[in-house]
Order: sequence, then structure tokens, then C-alpha cells
Amino acid sequence: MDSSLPVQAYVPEIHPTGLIPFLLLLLGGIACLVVDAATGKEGSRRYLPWIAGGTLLASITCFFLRLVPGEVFLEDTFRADAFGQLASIIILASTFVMTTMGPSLVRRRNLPSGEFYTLILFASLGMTLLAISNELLTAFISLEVFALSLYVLVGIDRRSRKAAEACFKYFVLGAFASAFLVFGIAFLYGAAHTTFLTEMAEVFRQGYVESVGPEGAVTEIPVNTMYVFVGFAFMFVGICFKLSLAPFHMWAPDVYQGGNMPAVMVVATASKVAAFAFLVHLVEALSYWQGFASGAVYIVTAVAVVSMLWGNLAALVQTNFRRMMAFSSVAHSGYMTVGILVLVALPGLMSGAELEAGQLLIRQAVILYMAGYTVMNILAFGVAYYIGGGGHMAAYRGLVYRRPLPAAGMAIAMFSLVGIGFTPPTIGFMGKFYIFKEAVQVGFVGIAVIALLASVISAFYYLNLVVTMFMRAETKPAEAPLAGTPEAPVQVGGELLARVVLVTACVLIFVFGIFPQLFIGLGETLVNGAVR
Amino acid sequence: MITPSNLLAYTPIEQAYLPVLVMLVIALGFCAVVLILSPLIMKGKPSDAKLEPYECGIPTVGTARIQVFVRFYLVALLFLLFDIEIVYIIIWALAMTHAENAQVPGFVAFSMIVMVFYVVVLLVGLLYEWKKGALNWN
Repeated sequence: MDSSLPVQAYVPEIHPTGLIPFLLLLLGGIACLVVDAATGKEGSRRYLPWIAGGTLLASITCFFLRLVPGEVFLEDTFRADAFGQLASIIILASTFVMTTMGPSLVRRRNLPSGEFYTLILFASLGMTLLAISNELLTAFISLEVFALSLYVLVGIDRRSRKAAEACFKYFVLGAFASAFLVFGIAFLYGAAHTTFLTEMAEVFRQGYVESVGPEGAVTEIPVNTMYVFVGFAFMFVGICFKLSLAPFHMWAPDVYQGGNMPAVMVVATASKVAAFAFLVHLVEALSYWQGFASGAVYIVTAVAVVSMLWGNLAALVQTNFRRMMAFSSVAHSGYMTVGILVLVALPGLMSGAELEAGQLLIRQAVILYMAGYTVMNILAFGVAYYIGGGGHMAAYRGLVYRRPLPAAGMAIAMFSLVGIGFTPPTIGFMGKFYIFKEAVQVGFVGIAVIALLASVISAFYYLNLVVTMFMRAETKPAEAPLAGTPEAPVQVGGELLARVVLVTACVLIFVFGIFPQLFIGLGETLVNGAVR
Repeated sequence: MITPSNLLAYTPIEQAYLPVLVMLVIALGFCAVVLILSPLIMKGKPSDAKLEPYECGIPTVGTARIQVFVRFYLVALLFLLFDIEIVYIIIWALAMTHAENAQVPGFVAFSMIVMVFYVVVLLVGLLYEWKKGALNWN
């Protein structure tokens, strides 16, 4: 090596406290491994839920203590704005609920508890880092960290053939999508000569890359349009897979049906929140490139419309609760993508402070929707998990006569998932309202109409479940064991914490539905009152 | 010294990747020519010996799809893990001992902390494997 070359060495600027919540997750995962190895099977089953749950709560607390700065930190690698921090909190809350379901699942299916809780924590680490990452390679690594953890968690029940099938499908298609993602990253690097999203936004805003030649001569290379579009298209495909958006949703029904319910709940909620938070940051950076909207609008619109329509239409004919929820989540990802569409179009319509205000509004609408989506799905999957019955629709017949409270909780979740018309005080309504409002305001009236029509379709199958639970007599013969009956094989119940969590979810649906500003305000408080 | 970033800086991006494109066209063209031309000009006289897949001249003994003991896979996985660890540590050691890096105050201490943390994380993983009996060959 030629030592005469100038080498720029530096000590990375680490924000003194910014990494603490993430290091906690990593150390908590390692602690789980150590404790599992040190104590036996029974010991680890007793202690690990406390370690994992405590770690997740401590990590959430760190966000509330404002340990994470509301800006870029760690050499610009992370950008924990209000949006990213709220997304992280949603993710951690979702994985915490999974942890509360852990003990009963581990005992019932005789799972290895060391791996179970460790992987929950590692998945949380990957997802939170993805939600706040400002650098493409960091984002890719974070995505792989949580994706690999979730592949294993979905298939951790090795004696179940369906779980193995779900795990394999999720893994193969996920690895395929990751390749798309990393290929797109390469193209964007070729276009902008940087992997940092904030720098990328700057490059796209000015339209050329400054490149320093051998004698210090600065040349301006114009940004290659094709590279931007190809890079975005590939990355979008990779992220669409994680979000199970319509042409890339094939894995979702099988994974939702085959995997264990707590893991599926996290796949449906937290992993989508993480991927969506990253997508918002990515699209925001790319949208500064003039002419980006002219191409990207078509890609994003196509995906959003197909997701909303196909998700809801396919959900109509499902006879299994889990498959129905899978297609429902496809549709909900479609609604959220309408927000991305607005973000793509925004820089073409306004600029300066007005643009920043517009982007803030749409970020707030998206995060509110994601929070609502997460709470509703936690409630729906949580109730379905605790009443058991294998997910057959027939098993829910007359549930209200056997287990009135879970039936009521499920009904609340379903009403909120419909989110239009007669369900105003729920968070599902508020999320949709804000996103569609933004879409209409920037002129996507047609898309908003399609989204509303899709929501009307969705009312049928959500309310069909409510009708099944409340208005159908529990007549046999159901081909499946009835949910919530003592002879149903997976009935557990009786866990105080689980009830507290599910009741909290019910309450949050209404609290954030009536006072959505509480949630938005929380994000602004987290970043020291600054509006970002 | 030519690095990927200054290669991109000196030449327009299209030209920088032109050799890759040329290589791709040549490779695809070669495959196509061989596959299309050889059936056209050959005289087909198949025999059992000719139709066998050629490896190294020794007669084949059974199928290659045998069950492999799963522990081989595990050993390969562990090997890969520590191989990657070595790749990182070598670069780290070179950067650490580089004269100009060593002059930056705090650099050595910082990189030491980072590497110790990294190795400890890997070590815990190894200890876990060990304790769980993954390294037990019997």
C-alpha cells in the first residue's frame, strides 16, 4: 500500500445517547441467548419473556425520554425524525405484543424459547433501524436482519407442515425480492454517487453530481435519468414484496395461514411499518429530481390501484380468517401507497416552505394510518389467537354466545378496518380520511374515488365476519372446531397481560380515532417540540 | 490509485460500464453460437458412453443426490461466519496501524472498542452453539 496517498481518517460522530434504544435491543437479544444457554429449558421459558418484554419496554421508554435526536445522527447514517421515531415505537409495541403471546405459544407447541425471544429482539432491532435509516446499505442490512429473523419465526414450529411451507415460501420470495432491492441500490448509487438519502436529495435537487478529478478539478455530471428510474423501480419492487403490494403479494396468504399467529401478526404489522417508513424516506429523497413524478406516478398508481382492488376482491371469497386478513393487508398497503403517490407528486406542485409543510402533512397522515393499521391488526390477530379455532370462518359462528368480550373486540377491529361511512370515531376512519384528503388536495381525485369504492367492497367481508359472530346461531356441523369452545384445541386465554394488551388496543382505536392529533402531537413532542 | 468511485468520476457512467456490456454480449453470443451451430454441423451417432455426463473420465458411480449429514452444513456455516470475521478484522487491523490514522486522536481507542464489541457478539454466538451441542459431532 502506498502510504503517501492522503487518507482521510475520522472518528465517527456518535450522538451520545441516540443509539441506546437500538443497542438495548441487541444486548437484550444477546442476554436472551446467554440466559437460554445458562439455564435449562424450564428456566429459559420462565426468564426469557421477562427479559425480552423488559428490553422492548425499555427501548420504547428511551424514545419517550428523548434519548434519540430528532435529526440525522451517527455520521448521517440514521435520520430519526418524528415520523421515524413514531414508526419505531409502533414496531416495538407490535413486537411487545408478540412477546406477551410468546409464553403460551412456546408451551403449547413446545418451541425453543431461546431462539424465539432472541429472534423477536433481533427482528425489532432490524425493523427500527430500517425505519430510521438514512443510508441505503444500512437500510439493506437492517432489512435483512429483520427479514431473516422473521423467516425463522414464521417457521419456528418445525412440527407443523404448514409452517414449514409458509417459512419456505416467505424465505425464497423474500430472498428474491432482496436481490431486486440491492440491484436498485446499485443503480441509485450510479445516479447520485452517494448512498445517503439526504445527500441524494441534494444531488437530485441541483440536478448534477459534483465529481472531483485527479487534480482537484470539479466536473458536474448530470444525473442519469434512466438510472434514477431503473433504480427506483427495482427498489420499489423489493419493498413492495415486504409490503405485500398487489403484484408481489403471492406469499402473503400462505404465510398468514401457515405461520404461527404471533409471528404472522408481526409480519403483518411491524415489518410493513418498517418497510413503509423507509419507502417514505426514499421517495421523499427521489421526488426532488425534476421529472421523477412523470414516470414514478404511473408505477406507484398502478401498484396502489391494483392492490386496493385485488386485495379487497380476493378477500371477498376467502373462507379462512387468516387468508382474509392477508388480502385485507394487501388492500391496506394499497391505501397507504396512495400517500406515497402524493409524496411523489408534491415537489412538482409546490416548493420551499410550502413543500416542506405538505410533506410533513402527508408523513403525518401516513404514520397515523400505519398506527391505526397496526392497532387494528394486533386486535384482530390477538383475539383470533386467543380464541383459537384454526382460522376457519365457520369456527366463528355465534362466537358472541360463547365468548362475548373477544367477539366484541373482534367486531371493533372489523368496524375500524372498514374505515368509512358509519365508523367515524375509529382510527381506521381517521387514517383513511387524512390520506384521501391529501390525495384529493393534490388532484388525485380519481385515485381517491377508487380507494373509497375499494373500501366499500371491503365492508362486505369485514362485516360478514361480524354477522357470523353475532347473528348466526352456533349450529353444527362446522368442519372445524368452534373457536372459543373448551374443546377447541388451541384455546388458551386467562392470561391477564394478554387481556390488558387487547383491551388497550380497543381503547387506542377509539382514542386515536377521536383525537388523532394526540398521536401526531406525540411525534412532535418526541423531537423536542420541533416540527419536522 | 483507481477505485470504483474515481473511475466513475473520470469517465461518463455509460462508458464506465461499457466493458461489462461488451462482456455480456460476447458471453451470450458465444453460448448462442455454440448451442445453435454444433447441432447443425455435427453428425449424430449417439452411444451410451457418449450420452453420459462427462466429469473426469472415471465411470460414474450412482447418483449425486445422496443425503449429506446435516452437521457438514453446520460446519460450513460456522466456517463462513468466522471467515467473514477474518475479512473484517484484517481490514480493521490495516486501518488501525496506518500511520496517518493512528495520529488522529481517539481513533485507535474508538476502533478498538468497536472491534471488541463485534468480536464479543460473535463470541456469544459461538458459545451458544457450543452450549446447545451444535458442535458435538456424536
